[in-house]
Amino acid sequence: MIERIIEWSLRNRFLVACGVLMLVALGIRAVSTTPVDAIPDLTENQVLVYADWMGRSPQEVEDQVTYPLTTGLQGLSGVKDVRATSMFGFSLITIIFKDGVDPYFARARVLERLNYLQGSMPEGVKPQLGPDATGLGWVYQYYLDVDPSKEGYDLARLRSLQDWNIRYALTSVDGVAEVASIGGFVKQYQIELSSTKMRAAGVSMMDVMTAVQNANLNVGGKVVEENGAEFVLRGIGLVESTEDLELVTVKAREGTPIYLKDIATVQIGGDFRRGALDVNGHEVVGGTVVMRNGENAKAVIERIKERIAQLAPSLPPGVSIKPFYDRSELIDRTIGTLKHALAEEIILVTLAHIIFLWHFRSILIVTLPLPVSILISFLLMKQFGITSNIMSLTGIAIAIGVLVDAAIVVTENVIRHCERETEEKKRPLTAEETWHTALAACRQVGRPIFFAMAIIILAFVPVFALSGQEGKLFHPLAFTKTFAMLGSTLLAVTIVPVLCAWLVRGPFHPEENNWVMKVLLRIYTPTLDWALRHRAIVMSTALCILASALLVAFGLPRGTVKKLRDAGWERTATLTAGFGKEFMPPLNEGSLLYMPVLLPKTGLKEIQRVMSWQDSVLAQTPEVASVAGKLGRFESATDPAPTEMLETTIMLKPEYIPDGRFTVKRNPAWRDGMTVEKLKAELTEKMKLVPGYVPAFLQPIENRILMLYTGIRAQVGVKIYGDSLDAIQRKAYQVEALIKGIEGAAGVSPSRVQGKPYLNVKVDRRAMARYGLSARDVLDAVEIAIGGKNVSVTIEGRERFPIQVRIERSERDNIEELGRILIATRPGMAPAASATGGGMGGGMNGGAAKPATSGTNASEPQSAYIPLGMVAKITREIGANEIASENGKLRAYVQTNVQDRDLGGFVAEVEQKLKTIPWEGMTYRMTGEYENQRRFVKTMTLVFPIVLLIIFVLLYIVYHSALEAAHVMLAVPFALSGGVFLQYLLGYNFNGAVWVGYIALFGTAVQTGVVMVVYLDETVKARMAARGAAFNYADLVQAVKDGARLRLRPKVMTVATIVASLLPIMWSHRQGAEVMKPLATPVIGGMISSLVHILIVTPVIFLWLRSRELKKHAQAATPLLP
Amino acid sequence: MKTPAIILLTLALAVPATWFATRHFPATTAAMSSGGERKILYYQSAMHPWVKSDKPGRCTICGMELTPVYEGQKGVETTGDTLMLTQSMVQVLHVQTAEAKKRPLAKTLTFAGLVDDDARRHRIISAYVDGRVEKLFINHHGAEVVEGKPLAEIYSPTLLQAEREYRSLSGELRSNVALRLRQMGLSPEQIAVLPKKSPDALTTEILSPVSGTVVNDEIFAGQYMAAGQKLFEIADFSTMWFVFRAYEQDIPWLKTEQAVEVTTPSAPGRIFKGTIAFIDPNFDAVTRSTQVRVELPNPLVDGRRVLLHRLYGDASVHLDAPEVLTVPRSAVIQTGPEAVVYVEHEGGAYARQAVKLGRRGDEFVEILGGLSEGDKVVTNGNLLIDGQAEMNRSFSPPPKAAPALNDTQYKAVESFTKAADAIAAALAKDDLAAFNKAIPEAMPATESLAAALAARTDLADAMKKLSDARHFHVAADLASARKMFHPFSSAAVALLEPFRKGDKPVAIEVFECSMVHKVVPGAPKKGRWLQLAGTTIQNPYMGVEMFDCGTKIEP
Repeated sequence: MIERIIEWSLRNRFLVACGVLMLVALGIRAVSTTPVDAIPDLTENQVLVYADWMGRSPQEVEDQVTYPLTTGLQGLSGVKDVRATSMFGFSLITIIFKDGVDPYFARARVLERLNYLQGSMPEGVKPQLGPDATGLGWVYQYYLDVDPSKEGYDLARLRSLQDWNIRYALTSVDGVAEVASIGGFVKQYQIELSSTKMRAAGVSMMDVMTAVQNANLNVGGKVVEENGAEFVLRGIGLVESTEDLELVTVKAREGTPIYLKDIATVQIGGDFRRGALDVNGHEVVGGTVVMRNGENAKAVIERIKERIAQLAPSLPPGVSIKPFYDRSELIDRTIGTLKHALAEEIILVTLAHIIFLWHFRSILIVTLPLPVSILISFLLMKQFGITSNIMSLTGIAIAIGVLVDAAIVVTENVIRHCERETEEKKRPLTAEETWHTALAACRQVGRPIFFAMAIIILAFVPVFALSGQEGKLFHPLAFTKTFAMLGSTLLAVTIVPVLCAWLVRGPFHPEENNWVMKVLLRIYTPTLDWALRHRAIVMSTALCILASALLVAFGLPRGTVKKLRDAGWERTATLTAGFGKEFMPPLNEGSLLYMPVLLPKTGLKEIQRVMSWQDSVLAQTPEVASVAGKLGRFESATDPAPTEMLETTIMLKPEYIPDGRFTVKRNPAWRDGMTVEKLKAELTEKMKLVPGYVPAFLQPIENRILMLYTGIRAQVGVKIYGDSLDAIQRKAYQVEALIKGIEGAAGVSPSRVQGKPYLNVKVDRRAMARYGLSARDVLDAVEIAIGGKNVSVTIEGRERFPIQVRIERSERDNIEELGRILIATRPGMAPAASATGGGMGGGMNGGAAKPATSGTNASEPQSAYIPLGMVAKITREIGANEIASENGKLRAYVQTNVQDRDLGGFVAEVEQKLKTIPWEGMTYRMTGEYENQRRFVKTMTLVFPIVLLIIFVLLYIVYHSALEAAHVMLAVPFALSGGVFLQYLLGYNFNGAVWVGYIALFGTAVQTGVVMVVYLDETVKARMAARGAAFNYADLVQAVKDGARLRLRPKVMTVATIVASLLPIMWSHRQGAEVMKPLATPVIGGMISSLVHILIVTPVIFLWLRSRELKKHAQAATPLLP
Repeated sequence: MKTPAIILLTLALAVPATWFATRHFPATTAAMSSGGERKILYYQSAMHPWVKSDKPGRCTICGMELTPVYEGQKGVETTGDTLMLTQSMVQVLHVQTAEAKKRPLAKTLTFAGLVDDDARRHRIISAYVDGRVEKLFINHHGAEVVEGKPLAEIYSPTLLQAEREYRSLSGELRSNVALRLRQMGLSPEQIAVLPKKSPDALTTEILSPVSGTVVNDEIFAGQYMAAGQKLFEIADFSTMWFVFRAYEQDIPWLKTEQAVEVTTPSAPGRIFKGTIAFIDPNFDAVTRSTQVRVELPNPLVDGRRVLLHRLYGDASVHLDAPEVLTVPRSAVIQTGPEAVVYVEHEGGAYARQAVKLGRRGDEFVEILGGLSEGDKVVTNGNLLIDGQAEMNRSFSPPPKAAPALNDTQYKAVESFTKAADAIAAALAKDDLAAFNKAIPEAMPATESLAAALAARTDLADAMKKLSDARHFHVAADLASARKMFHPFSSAAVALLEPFRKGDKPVAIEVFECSMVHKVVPGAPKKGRWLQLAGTTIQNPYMGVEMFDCGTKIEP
């Protein structure tokens, strides 16, 4: 099959060349159209539903909005989980669908359900579908910068500009799901009522609200005709200014109108806000662009920037849009790093070939297919919808060394054959002869190449078996690497033979003439001789190295380590503790996110004070380019941050900047010896000057991923579901105590929901009854008088602003005085009051009076006023800050990690203990990382043996010998030892990337082992054939020596190529390299150790195996032989 | 050919080596310098501060890296009630303090009310006789009238008849008619000038009996009037009444003679000063309020009065309570049922102190308990300090419950607590004799307790303290008795506190007194004692004087 492909290709050289050119063209197109982002999309398949209910406490939101919504949204097809959070003023529901459900199908289903759930919502609450985006889609964040020389832009005006102009302009950009505003003040018409004046005028709050609502409308009256001409009739009565509102007549009394201005102050002010933005210590107005899921981040940002440039002239003079976070910089830099690395890799690989082959045209054969296979990878990426990001490109970067491998083997073989042919013929070959030689040579290696490639690809299968976030992170890498490998395998059997036929021409330089090889052989020959003589030493040394590698990697059992440490062997203990574990090496994003959370009781003003201080301090750090502090939330469903959460985006100056040539230099703005880690530590120290929170520095994307992850992160979690918040919280504490008592529990922490101060105004029904008041009457004072209510909205061209009614600040800004707020009793319900009281001092008024002049009128029913405190009890309490629920049940959880103990036993003990406590109608579920680990172990116990088995079978097919196959497989653990040592030297923990590196190494190591054993076998066979029956031990040794020496060049060359292809990653200082380094580390270390192993240990083992065979054979046949 | 090859080889070796060196060595030096001298106490999560760990790692809830907290930093005190702030933290926070001081508690109450006229000087002028109004001198309301000046001319046949009679008669009869004329509303002066009145004159003047302002006129020229009909209503605006309603909770503050400042929108910027003249004892049951009257002088200025009738006005009443212990209002944080302040101590220590609040003034609030005079309380930045304290307090791990006692140990504890309770009860009653009687039982009980707990190495320290304190001797007076009692009681509580939790709790109550230092010289302020479970508080330190003073400590 493979031979036939090779032959066909060699016969149809023109077609093959055309095909390759076609692939190149398509690949280039794919490169430019593949979506580009910084990291793969790690989010779950989810649909957001949110519902605003202004000013309500989490408890109200939970009971009246969240609960009906979550119960109603369950049971949709494909739904995995419905998780909800009720916060102050809004409810956020995350409906998690199974992977693979089409997001738009899911959204349609949810929308369908929402339609009929609307009926069960309280008045004024409209649940809405969130944008088809997540917090990860915040790709571009900006603020409105005002030239300090220009004045007259207050925060309300800027906010209007943002809300009604910039926001819509940017939302219309292709790929943008939403543009959310923050900061400044939403302009609002505020009617601040004076209760004194209202009483004087005999006006109630309701009168004012109705009057305002009735004063703000435009109507149409169809058309009017005059002499055949038609006029559109328009009634105009919309409020356009505060003056209009001031002149609203609330009531006319005896011909005297009572205007709103008589009883209230009408002003323009800021609406109630739950968010603010601060740039470098100054309050500003800003917004975030939320990109739609799966869009091309880089392209979207470019379009946004274009739109902003178009908008610039239309902005008021002095105002400009400036970014405080721009992900395209990160994307550009990481992609740039990879491009750079790829270029350097290609150069180094070429260099390695030059050194070893010293045949320049053949270098072309090896190097030309390299970019083509990368392009094929891109083509397939586009086909499979994989975005181009740091992980997928890293997949290509680590594949480079292996990509050229197939081409090298083919080329080397062709050259060797041609060399031999030339030697035999004593003249340069003709084109025809070359073609034939090439065909023969290519056919010879076709199968081994195929198997080698198959092994490498197969070895990567476990990466595909990863699930959850690791899976989402590493699948693109595995895909691209596999794609590239497929591409290079395809090219190795098509275009490479063709190129060989075209380009392989004399003169050839025999290996012995190559000085590098001369040096290497001079070292290698005696070493090998020595090794073959001292087999035991070599073997035991190899085993020692392997054992120590295993010790360093996995460590001694935890108990032993502890004993060692207790015994004072601190260094030994550290050395034998094994590598630490982490999820993922963090990508250096070039920006920081500082996210402290203050206690929920902290008010917005105090938080703003802290934020402003922080921002100005942070901005003074030399490495910091800009600081933007966000308090509270963007007005977007993708941002559920409470006000007490500060999110400060700190853009750092790039640590390394291009020096104008090919390389980078350190940015002089960075202090000597400063690293991002040190900078974080330094800033943390500075931030600790304010008590009341724990400072922590993350990175924006890292943080978004953490925030989006809705599961339990600890190893073991107990979720407690119930109907009463208090009960589940109590139960959580009980479970906490229970788990703490179990051996091995570490960092046990229950969820906490309490902590927000509440001021409860509870109606006193008996007292209310005396005045004929309903709860509504009394609580209106809470809602409208104290809280304020937007009663209408002005329409001013494109802009819309709410009109709010509220009592004057002086009457409501003191908690102690709130009880004094007056409530009008129902007219007639308090007869004594209406007859004599009338109003203030009415009773003093004496006898009858002329109606026209009377201040108070007895015939008009008048309300008596009573203070709020008389019909309601005002108490201060601590209540829930945010209420979480899952599938319609309130949820609390207890999380714990496990130390110095096996996870399985711990989980079993927890389960057993949980059964012993009464659950009082609550339910619980065990969950946590241990589930993932269990699943992972389960998958891997299945996948790994299968993969090993397949590789073994493949090896068996190659050698037709189980022993040989096992022998090659044995090389793998030894190869891994080098990786371990390098990892230890560089101080990396075990994380996803390192594991993937080992998996990559695994395949490569097997492949290199294969080639060595194949050639050793070949030489031994050749010698046996030559010596026939006289073949003895000395012959065997000689054959092994010859074979090993013969394979020195391809071996060293392969390893050098792979190492060379990864070195650029290791020495790169550019952004993004830190994610790739841990991947490359095991491969580099492992390749070097595998080289040593294969060159020295493999011949030893081979010799040992064969000599035993020989002895057996000899004993059986001719026992006289030595 | 060899030279470039050697260069290449050198490069091949040098490049990885350089890379390795740059990658590796700065990192180690960095690690060394950032490690510093300070000791890391624990690691804490930024978003979930109650998640603490003694090892670096990630938060179990949000997955963020934990932040190290160093020793001697940010109030990491074990109690959680005291915080240490460095000088720079104090500056950053703008921590300001004020002294708790005895000072008059000024409070301003504001009321809304109505300006009314003086009811005592309010007059109605009605028709004394039937007749017709011929001419009105005052024909609009609001007109100023002067006493004795005519208001109207009336034609009244009855009156005219009487006048004629008066003129024609003399002597006794004349004086009878004069009396009748007085009954018809004429003033003696009018009567005196009657003889001079022209016989043709048909009308008679109605004179104003008082000076004042017409607040109502119900008569027009030419109108017939019947006797008894109301003609004019005159009020005197020279002194106005400002009347407001005071609700139940305001009444205790208000007294007559209190100075009141009244402002009204009609005279912006002007303050009318008056005093409370009267508080209506007729409480209005419906509105739960009563009327309060303030008298305000209202002289004529440029022919008009500033305070108009029925103006609305706002009154502020300045109240001065006698000197009480107060702190500024901004010092008090009351986010829940409990109010706390932060007291500054030496060396940047800030202690949380729960306080009992009394009345609230404008700027200060009365402290009924928890603070003493001269304590410095934080007035700015206290919310953030409170946040840190709350984090330390509620997130610090709860004390580990001690392993349970076995039955013999439990019995020993029981007999010991009985003995200890007896001593405390004796002291609480100031009963020296009972004390001296109780102590002989305490010593053997303590010894047997020590014997029973001998196996418990975890309790050895606490037990030793108790054993040291058990040597009572007969006390000569109460003071020395309490001095002996204090170490014994403290040690007993320290020993037995951990056993109040668990499956089989020790049946005791623990109380705390915060004024121990006053009776036991040299002792700390706070001291604890134990009583048998179910008993009510009996303070052994204060004795009968403050028998039930102290706080109960919950397990």
